Amino acid sequence: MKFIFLIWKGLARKKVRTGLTLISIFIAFLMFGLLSAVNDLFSGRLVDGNFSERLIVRSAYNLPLTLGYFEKIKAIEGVVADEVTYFSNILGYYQEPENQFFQGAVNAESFLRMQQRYWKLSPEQEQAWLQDKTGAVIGSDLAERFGWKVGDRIPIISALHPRSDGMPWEFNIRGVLQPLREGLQDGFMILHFDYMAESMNGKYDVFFYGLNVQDPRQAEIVAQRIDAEFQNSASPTTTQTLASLISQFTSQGGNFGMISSLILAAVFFTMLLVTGNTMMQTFRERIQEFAILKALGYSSVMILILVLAESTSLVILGGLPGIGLIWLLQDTDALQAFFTGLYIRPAVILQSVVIMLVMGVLVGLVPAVNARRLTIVGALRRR
Amino acid sequence: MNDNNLIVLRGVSKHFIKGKTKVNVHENVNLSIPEGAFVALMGPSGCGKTTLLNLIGGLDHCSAGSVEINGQRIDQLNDNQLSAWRARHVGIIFQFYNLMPVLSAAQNIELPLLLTDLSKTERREQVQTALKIVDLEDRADHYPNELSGGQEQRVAIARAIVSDPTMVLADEPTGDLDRKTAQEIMQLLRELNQRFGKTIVMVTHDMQAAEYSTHVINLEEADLTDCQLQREAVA
Repeated sequence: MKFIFLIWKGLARKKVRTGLTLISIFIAFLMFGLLSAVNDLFSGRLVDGNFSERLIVRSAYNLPLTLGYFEKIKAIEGVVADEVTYFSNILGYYQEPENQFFQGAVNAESFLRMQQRYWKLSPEQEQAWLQDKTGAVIGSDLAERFGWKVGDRIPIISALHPRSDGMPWEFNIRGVLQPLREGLQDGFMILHFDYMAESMNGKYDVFFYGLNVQDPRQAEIVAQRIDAEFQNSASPTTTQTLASLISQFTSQGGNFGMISSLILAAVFFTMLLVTGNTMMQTFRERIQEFAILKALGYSSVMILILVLAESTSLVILGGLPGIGLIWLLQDTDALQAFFTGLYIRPAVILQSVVIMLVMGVLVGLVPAVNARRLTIVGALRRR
Repeated sequence: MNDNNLIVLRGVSKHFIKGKTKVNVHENVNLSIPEGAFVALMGPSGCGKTTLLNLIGGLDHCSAGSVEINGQRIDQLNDNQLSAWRARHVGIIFQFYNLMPVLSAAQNIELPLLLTDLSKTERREQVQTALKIVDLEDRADHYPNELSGGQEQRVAIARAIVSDPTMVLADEPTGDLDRKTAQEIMQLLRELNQRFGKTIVMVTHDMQAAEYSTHVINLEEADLTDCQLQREAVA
């Protein structure tokens, strides 16, 4: 602890240079946090730890599915019969086209059973929703995004499924789902399928089925059973875990994971050069000071540790605010509007800290070893 | 040899390799310096004054022979042991002060104490004592660029004595100072020697500075193969 002021004074020696280096490190870790979270979002990693028991059944040929599949799926071995529901979507938006979010029309009772491990809805709100066919429940993220609360009547405009009178759909918010776990994305609105089908004179199909399996380790086998069941039907199915489905959707727009990894590699490599250069310049300017410290009795190992502590402090001082800022901003409207459900996992924060420590040691290694090797007489003769 | 000798060099040789040439700086030096002496090492440039000082202070290794300080063979110590030994036994003053520009006077003086087990309060007290000895109590928070050359050298002297070392080594301590300031610094070194009993070995070109010492060794003229300084000369 008593050497901290030495490290601090070393960093504050050239304020502008240190400041610019800190900014570059700050930006690098800000980008690391953002890209990691976006990558998680797109790769399905956020759902991987949760929803391991969740399967999604879609048409293999992008055709609509019928309600006839409902009972058949419930009867398949390995499926939790009470936790199967069907989804459709009206693909609408609120007020402006950029205010898009998922509106799922479901079988309410089975939906509530299927989600009960992840979201909580109070019994009063549940009853209110079940009794109101134009009612909707929304996720807490969506409620926060638009400031909606129970009792609000929300207009939704849909070009794909317009209301027959040309007016926007209107839904009463009857409940707000409260997540029971960290990191759940719930920027969605859930409606009654029956109401939608009735309003469109039955011309409203199932987009996909969602279900829970009894044993997550058997998810792949259950998926194969489901697909085998409908193999010779009018609309064969393809069944996947939720995580692999999200990952597949994302990869259609390119391999975001690889792109973000390449960007991050470039950012960190540049940061390594910038910070390493700063540390080398610092070392060259202070050769005599290191020699004096050695003359005063500071051992070579002590000098090595001081230089490494300085370089690591530099990276941490720049990096922690960077990752901290993106962590603070993750729930803001500005970010959520671009990346709904964006969430910085604690593991990403931990990864950042490990990277900071490794980077700190890496950028300080060469100057630290050089400082350690300095001979007092040789260094003092350089004046 | 006298039992009161603090510094004893036996058969010490030092050579450097420059390119393919071996340069002998010292050959078979036998030198003893009694405790409490104030020794001035003199001689022309290149005669090996600073090299001898570095060998005594454990800043450099001898090529042959032994260097014994207060009964301890420092030429046998490894790098870490030598650092620890320097921290306990040696205070060093350089010609160009060599203060850390980003540290205040008090922080510069505190540097050797950071290697001790002293508490913050104890360190502060010792820094204050050292500042008082060099008469710079009112400059404790000043940075080197806010001090005159003489004041910087006083801070360097305070840094050299703050841990109460066995001996103080000074390499041209007045070389960068005007005459009047040089005299003040020399008076201060003499006070350290006479009042506090510090053994001082000083390299200097300056005859007037050498007059403050108890012993003068002119490396050009002295026979270093057998140079035993007498305790009687110590005041």
